[in-house]
Amino acid sequence: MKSIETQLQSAAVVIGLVLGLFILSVAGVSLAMNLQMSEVFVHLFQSTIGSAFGILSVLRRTTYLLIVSIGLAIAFRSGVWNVGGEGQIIWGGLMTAAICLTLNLPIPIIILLSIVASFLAGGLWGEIAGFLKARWNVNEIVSTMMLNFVATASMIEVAGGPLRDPTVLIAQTRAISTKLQFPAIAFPLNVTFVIAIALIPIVYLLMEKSVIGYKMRIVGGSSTVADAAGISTGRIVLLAMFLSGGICALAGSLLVFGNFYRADASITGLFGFYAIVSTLLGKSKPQLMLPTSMLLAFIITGAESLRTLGVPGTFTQAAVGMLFIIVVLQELATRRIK
Amino acid sequence: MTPVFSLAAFGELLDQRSGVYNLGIEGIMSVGAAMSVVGAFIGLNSWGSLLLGTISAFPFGLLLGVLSERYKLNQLVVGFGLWLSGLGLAGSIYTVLLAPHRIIIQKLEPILFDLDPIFYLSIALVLFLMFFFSRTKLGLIITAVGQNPRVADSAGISVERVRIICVTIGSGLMGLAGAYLAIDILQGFTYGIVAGYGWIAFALVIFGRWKPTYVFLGSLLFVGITGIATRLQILGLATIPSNFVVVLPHVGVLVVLTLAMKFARDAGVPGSLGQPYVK
Repeated sequence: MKSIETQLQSAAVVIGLVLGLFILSVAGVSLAMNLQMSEVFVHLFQSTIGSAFGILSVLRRTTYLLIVSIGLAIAFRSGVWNVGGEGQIIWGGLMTAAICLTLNLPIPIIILLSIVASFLAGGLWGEIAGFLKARWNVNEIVSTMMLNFVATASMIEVAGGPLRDPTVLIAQTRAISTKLQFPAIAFPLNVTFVIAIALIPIVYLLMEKSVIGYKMRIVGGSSTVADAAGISTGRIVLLAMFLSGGICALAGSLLVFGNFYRADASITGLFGFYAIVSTLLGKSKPQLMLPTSMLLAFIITGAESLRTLGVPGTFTQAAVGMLFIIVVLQELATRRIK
Repeated sequence: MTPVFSLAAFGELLDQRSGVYNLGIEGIMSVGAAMSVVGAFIGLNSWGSLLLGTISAFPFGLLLGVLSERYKLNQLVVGFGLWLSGLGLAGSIYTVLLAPHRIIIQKLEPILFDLDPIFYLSIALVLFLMFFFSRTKLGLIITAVGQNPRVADSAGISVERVRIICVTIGSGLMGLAGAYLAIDILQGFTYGIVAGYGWIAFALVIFGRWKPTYVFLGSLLFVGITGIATRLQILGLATIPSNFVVVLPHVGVLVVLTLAMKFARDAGVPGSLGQPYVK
């Protein structure tokens, strides 16, 4: 067990590297696009941590990244590469919109029902890949990725069909009733943030303190050891994919309740992919997902804010993609210490 | 469409035969596609554009090879990084450089039976790879490195160097596949044109049991099946909602891969796939 001091030190190094790399890439893109560097950075600062609205925007993104990261962490820790976060988020959003738009029940029941149904939908969607892996050892990276495409098509089909908002041109559902929309703590942050935070201790206890979590970590560490210990690897894979998919779908559900109030294929904001970075930066430990999600939310908010200056939206992807270098360097550093 | 899948899959095959997963395939194809259109933009002819797309993919392979082999880092993590940054880079090139201009792209001239040279190149490549892996020393070295790096190492082969070279050349093929998609099939680049084809190619390698012929036949079969399905749809003989027609290839991959895993469990998988070699 490393001392708290060295842990803090390595965290500081990681944060420094991430921010440094981001600042470099922003500087690079400003040069490439012939923008006034000082103006770019002032804008960046004000849209992220330099104003109340900026801070709240970062926290708003943190909410959903945090939930997805926690979901992915469960799978990664169990040795399952769930890259289907996108599809699972979509199913969460779709179920929530469908229930809110079609059923007429008391509000608490609708909300509860939506969340449970979303969790189940995402969990079962993840379970397709989980089952294929457990039964026939089908590579889960390929299967979850393929299922993302199918989930998106399903969303377009439903949002452009029965639930469609006739006033817009794109495939988007109607807005849910204002009574169902979650209240803001301070715009644009809302109560979904509290739910996300509450998820941390729950998953922490599950993964780090329970027998089932212990088994999951053994399977994630080595399937040979798991076999020797008499743990059914297949069953753990099934469980991990169900919980992971369910939690990712929860993010989708809350995106509809707290953020968009309607569903379409773009609600994911690529968080299903971006969260891979925050999860890996935090070594798939639930208790580290809050700081890493905040860091990533800061980067995404910053990169997105540059759109108003004419920087392409895909810059966000490139910036987040580069962060994988830090994940890799971090791995390298821990190996040296050992 | 066949060359898009087969060229990219050959690239991935080369990587995996030497023991390295390349998950960046989709991003690398995107960069190849974007750069080839940049080639057309700066006035290169179609061959020059294809070449530019190929060359621009090399650094990605080199990076993956060096990070995963010299520094023994997780191939999947590096691959994801390359995938996301490749997509982002290609998208940014498009928005900044290509979108504002109208670019005229010349198709390759068909040479025989209405098929263009790249199609024949991919057939030639199947024959070459078959011969290469079974009859040449270099091919056997690559197979040995992928199957059992320890043995290869004790025979005096530099595992690291072989893998880095394989991954770099493999990425070039992926870049070419992307470039071909942009230049010859779609005649342009828009954001997201690779549309999961990279992942399909990745799956085709597993489906083809790491054998060049099977991978090529898989690509043909795959393009054929999706073509028939789309045709049936157009004729109104099959009633799948149109949004799902778009994802037929992806569903196809899932089904085919599952069948392949069910009936030929792990046959032909390179022994050291996914593990960096540590002496």
